[in-house]
Amino acid sequence: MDAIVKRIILQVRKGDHNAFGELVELYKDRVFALSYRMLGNRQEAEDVAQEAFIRAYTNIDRYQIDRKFSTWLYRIATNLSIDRMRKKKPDYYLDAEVSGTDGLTMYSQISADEQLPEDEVVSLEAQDGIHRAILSLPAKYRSAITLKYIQELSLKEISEILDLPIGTVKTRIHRGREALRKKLQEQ
Amino acid sequence: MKGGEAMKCPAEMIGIMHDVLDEDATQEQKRLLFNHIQTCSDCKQHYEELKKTESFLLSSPSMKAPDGFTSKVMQQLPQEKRTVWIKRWMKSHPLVTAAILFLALMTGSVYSSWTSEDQLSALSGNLRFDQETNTVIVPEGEVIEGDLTVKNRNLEIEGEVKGDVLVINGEQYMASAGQVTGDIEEVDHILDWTWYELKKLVHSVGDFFTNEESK
Repeated sequence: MDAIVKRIILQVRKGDHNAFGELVELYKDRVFALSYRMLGNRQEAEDVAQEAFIRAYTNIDRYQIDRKFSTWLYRIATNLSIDRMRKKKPDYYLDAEVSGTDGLTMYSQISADEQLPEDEVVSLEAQDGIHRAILSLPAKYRSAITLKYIQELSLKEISEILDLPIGTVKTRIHRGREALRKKLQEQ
Repeated sequence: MKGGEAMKCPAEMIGIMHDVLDEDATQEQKRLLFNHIQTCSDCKQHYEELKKTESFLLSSPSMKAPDGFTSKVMQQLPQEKRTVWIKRWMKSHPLVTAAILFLALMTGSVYSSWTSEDQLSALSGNLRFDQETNTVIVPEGEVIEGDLTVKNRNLEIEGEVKGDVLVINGEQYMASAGQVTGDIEEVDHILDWTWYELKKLVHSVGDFFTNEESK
């Protein structure tokens, strides 16, 4: 799998569109699932997932070929999803010490029990409790939980995607899981 | 287990639960937790709820990207480099590519052989060259073994050529005593020249096949 992906990426670097199409086919479901779990809306999730692939294409020269491609791709998709969440909720915009690439720290000051605005809850397409519960989490827990359970990634991969120490990732997963337990008990 | 009778659980117990779920707990921690939840119903319930949450998370349905996702992405990509487009076109049209390549090489070689320097080729024999009339002469009594090619000069044959004679961009005169055992050919225009080269190619291809068959 990795060898195939590397071969395709080398073709893409030469400017081959069709080779990139193969990459999209390989990863589209996982990238879409990631953005959907983060955003809770199919249309927005599709926009973000497409944008993630286009960014991957235009920045393919910056991808380090010896690293895992999925890690790099998920990182783009996660950051774009968080960006989109921020745009939807301008009052959450806490960007004092945030650089352009790391969209995560801006949420570090948001408390775990923050509620979604009413209209967002209504707009959710999926009705299952766990999905709603994930969407009620603040971004920093939502991303960690999504990467762990929807993408089933290791703590190490999650820490690379989120650019955070493993200890921080663990804490976020613990707190996220704790918050989900409470939400599910309430439902 | 000091906390047991005081109904107060060790503060780190919930942390241990999460470490166990993450398969990140030591054997010692695991034993501590499982011993504890046998006597503490609150912690047991908490742990059960966490496990239930986890099983919900793991069982969430896998998702498919919407139809047409890939083509929508492809339409939005920046223009690809021209060279790549050409390479792919060539791969998908091998016959046309071969034909174009053939024509290009053919034109190139024909043109360059037409414009190349004056030349004279014969495998053996003595030839005389008359500069005033720009004429190559095969003297009387002389025998050329093999083909004779003369380019941008005239040719006069008084002796004998045991092979084909080709005169390019020149004229050839045959003296009454002269003898040519093969074909005599005069080529005066680039079109004739192209025709000649093509004929030669077809012949050599034909030879190739007859050789193959005779094997």
